[in-house]
Amino acid sequence: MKLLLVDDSRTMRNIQKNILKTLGEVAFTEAGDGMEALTCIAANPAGFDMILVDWNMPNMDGLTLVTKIRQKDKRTPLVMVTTEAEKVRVIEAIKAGVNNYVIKPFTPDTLLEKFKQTMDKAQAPAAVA
Amino acid sequence: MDVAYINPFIVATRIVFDTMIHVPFMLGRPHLRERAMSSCAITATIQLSGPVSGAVVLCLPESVAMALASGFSGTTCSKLDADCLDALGEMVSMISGNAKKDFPAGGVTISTPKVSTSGVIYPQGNPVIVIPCTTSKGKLALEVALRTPPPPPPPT
Repeated sequence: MKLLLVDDSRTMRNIQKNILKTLGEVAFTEAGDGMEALTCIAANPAGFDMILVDWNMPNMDGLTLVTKIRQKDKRTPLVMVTTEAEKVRVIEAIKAGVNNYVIKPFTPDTLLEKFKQTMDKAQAPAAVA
Repeated sequence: MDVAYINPFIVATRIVFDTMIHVPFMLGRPHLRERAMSSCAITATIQLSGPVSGAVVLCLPESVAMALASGFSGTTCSKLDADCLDALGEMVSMISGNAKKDFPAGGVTISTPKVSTSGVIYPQGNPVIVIPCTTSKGKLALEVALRTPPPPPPPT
């Protein structure tokens, strides 16, 4: 499984890695802001199985990053992991195209549960109209 | 100073300490600070502007800062290096984000928290409320210097 972690805090990326590596074999790619994340995405044409994105970052914030990713890629599951806890912000992120939303602080169980929820939904066959 | 803007920071600190560091804390008796400068080793400052303005500062002795950063990051912080300051910054970001959602009014802008080893100088004339906290990692304090604009005069 290939995951891209986008957060300007190295501490937070390490916390996420320590939790998510319990899922099995995971290859992590890390980016410290939205610009770096776009570079990582361009350098990985095979894509990522999921991208976890912080909201508040220098150079390019998470919401802008999500919007830019969704202009080209509707499929890769995106999870916003952020301190932005207000409802209005959650709605804004969902409108921009995130599949799930995790509010910091989180427990390992919460992050793993949201991760699995998002993966299960992404892998479910599309409903026939 | 409107307590409705202070309590969210206390609640958020408790939540972050409980969830990420597993450190419950006990609140001491709040008191007013006489001096305008905070003298603790590490300060993590959250600036607010809008309907309420000023600063909320987490004040930490060095040993407590390193113990909290270690608990938060899951690694050992034995000196105040970039990793330790990064962990403290992320911890305080979580406190400010969670506090904001419980503010009584919208429109408050919160700055990215700034972690510093050179103290904080509060604006003159603003009362500074010190809320002591005791944890198993040691003692720390939340210092609050907020100003809400006076209500508009009644119509004549």
